[in-house]
Amino acid sequence: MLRISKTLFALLIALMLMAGMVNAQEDVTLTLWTHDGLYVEFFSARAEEWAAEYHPDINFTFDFQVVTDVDTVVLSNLAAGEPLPDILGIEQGQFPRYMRDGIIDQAFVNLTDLIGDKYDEIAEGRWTLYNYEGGIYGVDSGLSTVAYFYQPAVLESVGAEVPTTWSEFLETGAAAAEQGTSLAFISDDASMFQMYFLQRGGQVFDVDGNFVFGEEANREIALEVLDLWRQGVDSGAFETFLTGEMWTATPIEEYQSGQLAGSIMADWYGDYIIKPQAEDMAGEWRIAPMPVWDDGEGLGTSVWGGTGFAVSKDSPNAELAWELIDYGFLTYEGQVLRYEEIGYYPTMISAFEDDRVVGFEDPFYGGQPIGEIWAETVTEVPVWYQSPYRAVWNDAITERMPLFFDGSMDAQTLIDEVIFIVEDEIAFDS
Amino acid sequence: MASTTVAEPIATQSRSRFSRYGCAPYVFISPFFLLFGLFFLFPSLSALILGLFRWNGIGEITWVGLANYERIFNDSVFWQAAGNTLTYTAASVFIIMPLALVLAVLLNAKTLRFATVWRAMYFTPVVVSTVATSLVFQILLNENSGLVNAPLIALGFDPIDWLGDRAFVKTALIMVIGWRSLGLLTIYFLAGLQSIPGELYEAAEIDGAGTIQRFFNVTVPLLRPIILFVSIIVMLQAIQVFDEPRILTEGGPANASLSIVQYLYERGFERLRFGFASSVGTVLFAVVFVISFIQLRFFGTFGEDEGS
Repeated sequence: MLRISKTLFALLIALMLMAGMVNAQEDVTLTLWTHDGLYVEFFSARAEEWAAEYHPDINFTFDFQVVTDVDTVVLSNLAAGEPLPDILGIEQGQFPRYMRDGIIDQAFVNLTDLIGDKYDEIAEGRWTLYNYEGGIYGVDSGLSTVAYFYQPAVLESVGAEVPTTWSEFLETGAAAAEQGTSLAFISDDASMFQMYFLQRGGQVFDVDGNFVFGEEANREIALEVLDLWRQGVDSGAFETFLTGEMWTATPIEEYQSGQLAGSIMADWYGDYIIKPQAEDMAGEWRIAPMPVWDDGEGLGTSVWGGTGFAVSKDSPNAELAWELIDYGFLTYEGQVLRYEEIGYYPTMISAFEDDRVVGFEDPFYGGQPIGEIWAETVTEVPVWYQSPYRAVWNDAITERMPLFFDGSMDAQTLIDEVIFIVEDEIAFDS
Repeated sequence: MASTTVAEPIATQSRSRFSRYGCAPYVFISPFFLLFGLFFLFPSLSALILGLFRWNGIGEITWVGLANYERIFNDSVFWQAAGNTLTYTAASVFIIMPLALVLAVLLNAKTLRFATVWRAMYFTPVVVSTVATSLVFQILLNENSGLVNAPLIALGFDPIDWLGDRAFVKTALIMVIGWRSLGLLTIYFLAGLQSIPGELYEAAEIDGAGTIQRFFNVTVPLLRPIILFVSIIVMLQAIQVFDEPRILTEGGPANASLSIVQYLYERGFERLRFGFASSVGTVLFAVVFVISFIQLRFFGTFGEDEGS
C-alpha cells in the first residue's frame, strides 16, 4: 500500500513538474499581413522550421493573413491608433505612401543595422527601393528582373528571330507586323515606362528622394524610350494595351491566336499571368534576355515589382519578427526554397549558382533552364529610388500615355507636362 | 407692459407642458439627432475644417488656409473629373431615369403576364455586388471577344474598344451604371404608379384620351413627387459614382472616365492628402446642395409648402 502511495505521489510530482514546464513556455503570437497568399504559404512553412530550430522554448501562434487593400488598412490603423501586424509585406508601388512625412520611420523598424553585411549579398537594386533617408525598411521578396517571354513557333511562322537589341526588335517587329503579329506589348501603366526608362539608365528620383526626371540626362533618356515606343507602335512591333486590360484575358487570347508573339516583362509574369491563364500553352513558351540598346549604354535588364517585408516598430515581438524575415529571405537556403516553393527568384546573387535555381528545366518553357536567363542579369538589376511623389509621377505618365499612343500628344509635350506636374506638386507641399 | 402680460401665460403654458411631459419628447427624438450629429454633422464639419489644413492622416496638421481650394480649381484633372461626373449625372437623369419610368409603366400594365417574375428580373441587378457586375461587364465589353461587340463583328464592322477608347468609355460606363440602377428606379416608379387611382385613367379614357395622353396628363402629373424624389436619388448616385470607373477603367484612358469621387479617393487615400481630399468633398457637397435646391425649386415643392 505504501509502495503504491509512493508511486502515485511520484507520478503526481512528475505531472506537476511537466505542467510547470509547459506553463514555463512563453506564448507568442506572430502576425503577418500581405497582399499575396504565396508569402503566407512560404512564411508559414519557414516559421514552423525556424520555431522548432531556434525557439523550441516558445509556444508560437502564427497568424499570417492575406489582407485586401492591405496598405490602406495599415495606414487607417495607424491613423486610428490600432495595432499593426508584426510583419508587413509592402508592395513596392505602395511604399511611397509610407514615405510621406516619414510615416515609414515612425511606424517601422529601420533594418539597416540588422541587415548588416548581408546588404552586399543581395542585388543592390532590391534594397534601394525600400530606402528612406538612408535607412532600409523592407527586405524584398524576389528579383523581379525583366526578360522577353516569347513563343518560338509564332516567331518562326513570321520568319522572325529573337531580337537581342532594340534596333533588331524594331526591324524584326516591323516585318512580323506586316504578317499580323506584334512582338510584344506596352501599356499606359507608368511602371511599364519606368521599366524601359531604368534599363536605359534613367532615374526619376535620386538617393535623397529629389525629383531628377527633369534633369537633362534623364529627360533625354525618357525621350529616347518614347522614340523607341513611337517607332514600335507605328510599325506594329509593339501592341498597346491599357492598364485595365493588360492583366485580363485579352493578351492571353492574342498569344493563343498568334497575334502577339510574347511580352517583355518581369520574372513573375510567367508564373502568375501566363501559366494560370494559359495552361494549354505549356511547352510553347521560351525566355530570352531583354533586348539591349545598340550603343551599349544602359543595362542588360530592367525591373518591375517586388514586395518588401517590414517590421512594425511597436511590435512587442519585433526581434522575433526580424529573425523570421532574416531566416526566410536572407539565408541561402531560404532564397532557394522561396524559388522552389513559390517561384520568386532569389535576390541573393550567390543563390544563382545553385543547381536547384539555374538547373531547373521548366516544362512550361519546353524544358529550358530558365534560371540561367535570370542568372545572367542578376548583377545588372537597376538601382533606383522611391519618393512620396512617385504616385504623382505615375499618374501623370499614365494619364498621358494613351494620348501618346494614339498620336494626339508628342513625346516632348508628354515629358514636359509630367515634369511640370510633379514639380508643381512638390512646390505646393513646400 | 402689454407684452409682459401676453408673455407670462405663454411661458407658464410652456413650463406646464414641459412639466406634464418631462423630457420624454426630447428623449424620443434624440436618436435621430444623435445619429445625425455623430455620422453627418460631425464628419461634415470636420471635413470642412480639415479642408483648410494639410494632413497625411497620421502626422502633424498644418494650416494652409484656402490653398487646397485654390489648387482644386487650378487642377485640370479635377475639371476633367467634374466634366465626366456631369456626363454620368446627365445621362442618369435624362436617359436612365426616363427609361426606368417607361419600364415601370410597362411592368404596371394589367395585361402583362408573369408581372412578378419580370419585376424580380429587373430588380436582380440591384442586389448583385457592383464589383461582380463590373467584372462581368469587363468581359462583355472586351474589344475582341466581348458579347457586346459580337453583332458589330458579325456585321463586318470594326469592334469598338469600349473601355479603351476615350470616345466610347463614358458610354460604356453609363451602360453599366444604367444596368445596375434601372431596377431600383423602376421599383420606385412602380410604387408610385400603383398609388394612382384607376378611376382617373378610366375618366381620361371616357374623355377620349389615348395611351400617350393618359401618360402625360395623368401619370406624369400624379407621379411628380416620385419623379422629384427619384431624380434627386439618381443625381446623388451619379455624382458619387466610384466602383464602376475604379474597377473597369481605373479612370482611364487619359482620365476620360475618372469620376469626382474617384479623384477624391485617389488624392486622399493614395496620395495621403486628406486635407485636400476633404476640400474636394466640401466642394462636392456644395454642388450637390445647390443642385438639389434647384431641383426642389424647379418642381415647386417649396412653393406648395408655403401655400399650404
